[in-house]
Amino acid sequence: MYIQRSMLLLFILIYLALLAGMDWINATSAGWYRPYLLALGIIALSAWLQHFREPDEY
Amino acid sequence: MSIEPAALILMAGLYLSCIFGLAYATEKNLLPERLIKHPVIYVLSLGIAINTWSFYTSIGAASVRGYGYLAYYMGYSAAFIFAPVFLEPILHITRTYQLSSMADLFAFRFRSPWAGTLTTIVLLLCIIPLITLQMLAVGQSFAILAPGTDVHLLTLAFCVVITLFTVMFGGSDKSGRDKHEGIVVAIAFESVFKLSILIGLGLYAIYVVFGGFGSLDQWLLEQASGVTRLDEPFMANSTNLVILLFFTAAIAMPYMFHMVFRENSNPENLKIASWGFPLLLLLASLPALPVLWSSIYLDSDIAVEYSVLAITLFKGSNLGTILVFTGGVAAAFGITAISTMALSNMCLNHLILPVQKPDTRVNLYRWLLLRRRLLITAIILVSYFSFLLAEGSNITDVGYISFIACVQFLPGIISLLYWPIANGKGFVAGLLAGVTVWFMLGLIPMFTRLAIFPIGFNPATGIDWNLVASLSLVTNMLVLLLVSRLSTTCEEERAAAEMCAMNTLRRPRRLGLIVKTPREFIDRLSVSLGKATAKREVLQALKDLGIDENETRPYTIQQLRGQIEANLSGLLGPTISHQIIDRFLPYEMISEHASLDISFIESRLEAYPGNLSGVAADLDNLRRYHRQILQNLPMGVCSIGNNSEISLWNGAMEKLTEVPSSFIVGAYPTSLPQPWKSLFLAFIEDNDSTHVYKKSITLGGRQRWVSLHKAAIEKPHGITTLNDGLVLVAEDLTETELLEAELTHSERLASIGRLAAGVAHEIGNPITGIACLAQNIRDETHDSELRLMAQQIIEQTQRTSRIVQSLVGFSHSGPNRRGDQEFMSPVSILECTEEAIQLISLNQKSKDIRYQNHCSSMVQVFTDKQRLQQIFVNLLTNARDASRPGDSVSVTDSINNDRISIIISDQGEGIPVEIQDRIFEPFFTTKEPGKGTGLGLSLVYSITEDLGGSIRIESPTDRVSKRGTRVIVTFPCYDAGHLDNAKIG
Repeated sequence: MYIQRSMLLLFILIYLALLAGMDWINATSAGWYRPYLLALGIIALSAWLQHFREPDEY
Repeated sequence: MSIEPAALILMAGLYLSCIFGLAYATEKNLLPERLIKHPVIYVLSLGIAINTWSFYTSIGAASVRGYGYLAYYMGYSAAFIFAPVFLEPILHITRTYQLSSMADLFAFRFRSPWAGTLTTIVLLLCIIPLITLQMLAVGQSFAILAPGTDVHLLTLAFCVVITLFTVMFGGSDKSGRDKHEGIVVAIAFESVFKLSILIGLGLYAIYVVFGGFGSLDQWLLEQASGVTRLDEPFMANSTNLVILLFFTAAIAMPYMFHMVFRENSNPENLKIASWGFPLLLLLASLPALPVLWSSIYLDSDIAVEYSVLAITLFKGSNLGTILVFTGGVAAAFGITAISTMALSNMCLNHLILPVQKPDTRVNLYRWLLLRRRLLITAIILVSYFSFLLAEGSNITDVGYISFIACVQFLPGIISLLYWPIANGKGFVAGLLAGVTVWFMLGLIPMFTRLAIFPIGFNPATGIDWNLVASLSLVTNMLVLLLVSRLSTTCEEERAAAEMCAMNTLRRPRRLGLIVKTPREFIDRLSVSLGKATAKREVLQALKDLGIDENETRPYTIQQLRGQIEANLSGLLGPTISHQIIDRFLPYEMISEHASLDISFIESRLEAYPGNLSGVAADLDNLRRYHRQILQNLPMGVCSIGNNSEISLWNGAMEKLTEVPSSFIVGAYPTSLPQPWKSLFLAFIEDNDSTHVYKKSITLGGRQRWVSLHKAAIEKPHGITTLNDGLVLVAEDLTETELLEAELTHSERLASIGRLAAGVAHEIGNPITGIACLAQNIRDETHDSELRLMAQQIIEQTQRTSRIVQSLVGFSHSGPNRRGDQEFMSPVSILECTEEAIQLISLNQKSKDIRYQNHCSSMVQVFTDKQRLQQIFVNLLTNARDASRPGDSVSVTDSINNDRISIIISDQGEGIPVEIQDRIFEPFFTTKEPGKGTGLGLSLVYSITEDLGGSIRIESPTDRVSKRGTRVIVTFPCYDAGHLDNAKIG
């Protein structure tokens, strides 16, 4: 089975971000928008990785 | 608090008019193509995922699971963020094989019509509840805002509008293969509208209801535990399961499959969507919590799923409420239209066509179009009846039942790309098992509110969707695994698995086709498709491949077969298409000697270099290196498979035969032009010899010599998949042959020269003696007759001496000057030729001949001037002697690279071809006896060789009159700088 290394890296990063971010998200009710910031970060990372992909790579 | 029904209908009607108008304008090319095909439009069209589930139900999910409501968005987003894992490979397969639905994909992968049919049925079971959910949402929201209105009639009107839209813009494509740009643009607009409403509502909730972010934060801090739901665990088990449900939905739900794969005009768009679509969903998910809290803050008594309607309604904003309602209509409209369109295609390909074949006399395209439209109407009608049955049901439950049915395709999708061992039997059995669990534990309890099994349903708490989903999925996977392992897989299915699998490069073997030409394709397919359709499809496939109607090369004919199958798959589905192609365009035989489709493997490897890494990349680099060695080998190499097709034709072979590899690779050797065809065929068929030496052939009027060698490509021990056949090596020996001939000629001349020198030396002494004796007689006798005779003897000895002198001169190439650097100097060609012309002109014979000297004054050669002049005098004398009175003799020069050619041309009678080989031989002359010694040209040849030059003769120069001779003498140009350096060195 072939899985791109960048995808594997992204998967691990997202997993770690969720683990590390869980306490930060639940820290206080006043920061209710924090999960969205985390999601935005993941999307930005995904877009950044996409930028470096070869044109014929899939 | 209520809204005027007319206002709601008016606004919804206005919105739907915009949707119709946009789709129409796009179809009529009134919008710029750049806009239509822009990646942003594609990304926005994927906003079809923002349907009533996210518009209404996500608020309900947030009220129970807090942040867990994000699972819906996370599932969809994960599928796109990890697009290279599932979406991009599937896109590649669907584009290559023209597969338009999930049912097509499974029918193609498992080579089973049952896989396609079962997928269609399960997707019908999955989509009907989802469409019902959309209708329920529209009907229930209308009932909330305008109580007492006839919701049935309104929902029916909504269904009629959707049917009209789908038939007009989704069912108008006769071929069933074209993109529906009108629909894509309309759905993109719909996404913008929905998103604007949601974001506007979120801002309204924060700023109007709460008075800003600060007040909202303050309110949140003041709430007791459990009210805001922010203390719910973010990643609970149920959340994980919902993520998986929507991850699968992003791939398998017919509306997503259609928009992601079928309407994708450029694979690059999916790469942008891999982050653009999650961003779109993030924006859509933002307002859910503020809207929920606003609803709690305003103490709304409206069902929590419809909280989006409550805020503006409770704040008294009628316009806002109407807009939000229209947003809900928009959320329901797109998904219903696209799902219906996609399902109609699936039903046609996998439910109708297998049992009802169109008559060959009818127009196939119209026949299909009519049935597609009828199916669209039927699906919406069935959904409407389902809506009537499910009226009053919880829309969350209806949504779950749909998405859990959809997740049953996850094992199939994984095995499609990553587990080639899975087979059709396993897939069908697994799907049936999973769907049975879903049916027993989910569907029946939902409608009957009865617990058939002691698990999954509790009348007090409802259905345990988490359990239903996990149990059905695990059952499905286990059955798929076991049945696939325990049952046999046919060769064809294995080949299809390899075509879909991402980790294998093995490809099916190449077999010969019974049908040999495109015309035969049309004749054969006419039996099943009718003449007009067969012709159209074959011509379309030819156009797609860019090949000619007269093509007969086996490889190209096989490609044509594949393209027709792919195109028919887009029209009739892969099952019917495969049946037609297999029946009417069959292979010659299933032979164990069939060769691997090397060209296909190579084209795949060439197309996806970035896909290989590690050892695979190393192997590919090694393959490229070896391939390049073969390509650049200075000997012609061609390999012939055991099906007699030429599979390799390297650069040297192209140069030697002047046959391009693009023409001959994939063809039989019989397609080669003459004389190669006869030469190669005779050599291939000759089992006794593996070499042919110096075979003479005539190519373009010139004689050439080639040597051929052949060897069998043997299968290495233990490897049975390697292609076998023959490898031929062709060697061009023309230059070698010409050099050898020239060398032989030179040798012959040299030996004659040595003989002549010996003869001259032996004759010289007695002649001298005779001449002395004759002089004595002449000087001492007074007899006048004797004196006359003595004088005659002296003259004859003088003549003999001249001949002997010439012979000595020929043998030594000049009077003691051979190789003597003392006499070497830069010589102007113009001056030298001018002097030679002057000398020749003194002779009476030259009076009627015109001499033209066109040599350049700038050109010099480093040589012995005397001997060079001797060359020109001899050549000009011959030219003069061959010319008629009034003719002209010209001298010209030309420089090519570092060599100068001096060309002496005449208009004389020319030299017959048969004697041209002999004219440099000593004593060979065509002049009358006594007029020529036959040593002039021999001397010229000898001197030229000595001076490092070469000489050749072209005659006749005028092919019509067969007259004229051109003698070309070539010497190295004089390079003062180079010579000086050489001297210093």
